[in-house]
Amino acid sequence: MALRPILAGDTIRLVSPASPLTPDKLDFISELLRNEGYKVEVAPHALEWIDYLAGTDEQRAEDLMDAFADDSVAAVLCTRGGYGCARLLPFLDFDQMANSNKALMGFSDVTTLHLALNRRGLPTIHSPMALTLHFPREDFVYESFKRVLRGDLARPAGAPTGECVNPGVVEGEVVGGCLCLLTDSIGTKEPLETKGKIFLIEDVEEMPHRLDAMLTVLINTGLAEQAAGFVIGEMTRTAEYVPGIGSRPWEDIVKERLGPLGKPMVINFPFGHMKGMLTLPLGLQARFDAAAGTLDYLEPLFQ
Amino acid sequence: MKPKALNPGDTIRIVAPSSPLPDKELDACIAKLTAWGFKVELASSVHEHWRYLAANDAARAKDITDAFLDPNVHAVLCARGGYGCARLLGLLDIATLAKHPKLLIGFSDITTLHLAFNAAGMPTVHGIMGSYFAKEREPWVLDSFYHVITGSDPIIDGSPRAQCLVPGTSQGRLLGGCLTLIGDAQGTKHVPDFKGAILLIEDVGEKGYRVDARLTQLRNTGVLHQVAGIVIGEMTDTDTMRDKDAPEVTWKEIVQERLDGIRVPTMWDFPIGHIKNPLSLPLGIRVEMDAEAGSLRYLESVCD
Repeated sequence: MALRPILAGDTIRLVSPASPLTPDKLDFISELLRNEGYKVEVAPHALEWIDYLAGTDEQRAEDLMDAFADDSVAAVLCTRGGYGCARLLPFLDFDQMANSNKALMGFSDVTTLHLALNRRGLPTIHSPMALTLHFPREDFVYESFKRVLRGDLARPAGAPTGECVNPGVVEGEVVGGCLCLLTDSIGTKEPLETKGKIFLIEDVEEMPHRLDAMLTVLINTGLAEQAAGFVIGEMTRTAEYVPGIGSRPWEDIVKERLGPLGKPMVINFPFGHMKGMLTLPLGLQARFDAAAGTLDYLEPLFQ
Repeated sequence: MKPKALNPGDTIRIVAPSSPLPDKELDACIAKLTAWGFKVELASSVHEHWRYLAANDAARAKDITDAFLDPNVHAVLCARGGYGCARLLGLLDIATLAKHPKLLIGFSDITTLHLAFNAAGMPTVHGIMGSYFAKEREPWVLDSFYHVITGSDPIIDGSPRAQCLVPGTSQGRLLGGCLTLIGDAQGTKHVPDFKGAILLIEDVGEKGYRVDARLTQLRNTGVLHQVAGIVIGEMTDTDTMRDKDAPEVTWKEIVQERLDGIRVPTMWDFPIGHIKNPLSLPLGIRVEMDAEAGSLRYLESVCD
């Protein structure tokens, strides 16, 4: 299933399915999108603020459902992650959302929504969000984001490649995102599925032993063994030391836990919470060359 | 498959399935167990230290296996939690070990082993560990531990009662422990059936939104809709680790909101887990809870 294209003059709606943000955080991305020829709309509850959530579960779910149902909206871009998408599972009709064929864009906590839509065959876009682009980024970040919106999946010049841990070339559907949301999905009705897939994993501000624990969940559930290969981003700002428990570099933890499975694997692939991130379609077939540190898409994003 | 209660002269082996504990922190534990008339043995991994783990996985798993299969060992006490039990699941033959039932005592990271052994039909003890004996505690802390290992009632007169969140009484197998580890066990082979169970939960050092995320996971997996009652200890330190920009929402507000609509008898502030003065509670056997009275009563013994 390819996505409805996002054409010049089309509307991209900003929604906040997870944590809140102040209005100024929407300025940069809105201007960038307008300069690219798109119209920008802000969902009715996108700037709500209740503790760590951008509005009630009902409000956040309603904004998502409305954006997917409204034919004048071509794509749905999340303002930020944080936390809150998992709370929406009982309120969302993912079948209806998937039938709209619209692009959902975002990452981090939005991983929960990517999983549910990708399971229904709908590609989504693991992309920087309003809050991400509020902070200055390297040129390739903007270039990648703008190109993917136009359906151009070629790697932009200047983007770093991944560092090879295990060489090898595999083809498969791209799945994954933020590790703690991937593991939180296990056992729910919208679970992570990895069989034969190219598995993207990254996270932010975890404790070293929790990073180990979540990778161990992937091992104990068989989800790691079923994957075709591992594209690891960065475990950004992993705590260096936890009093009473100890420390270990995140790279060592990832290599020690997933390396022995012998599957093609890179680390520091540019996506997610690291400083410079590519905009990457999920739910599309790609070719992963671990020795080269590259991920190349094999099918078009848009119809 | 119930363990045997300990008699004077029996041997307690201390193992370290998770993170390391400095040897000297065990001194008070060994002294107390010895004063009670038990023999104490230390498994080799207790003296090791590898990153955040006490020894490598193979050594820690072997220590547990050896302790269960050695007929001269009568109970297995964990030195401490931290992290590491989940790494051992692929290396332990839980079904075989459960056929040699012994008192397995610990909490926090040990929750992973509780869930696995309870799923295999062997009761365990959510109890104080080696690290807990060094400091001064309220009398019920050691009394409860001693009562459990000698086969009598772990609920000690004078120990605090819980506060009621949702009134009512309920009966079921007591299952659970540390919330994070209950979440991590979802989808593995080593998780008991929570249908009709009394769910025990507590945690330490989790940010408020992660407590929310873990309870949301248990909602989304259906666990919270299957249980017959909920006994909550404390989300220790959660309220003191808010970021400076973080909202002023307490763990109790988060828990209450996430349990909205679950409508089974529920109580919190029950004295278990990462608090200064916890009881030691058998898991995997039937209890009756009375949320209004804040009480938990065992309907059977953890021991034969």
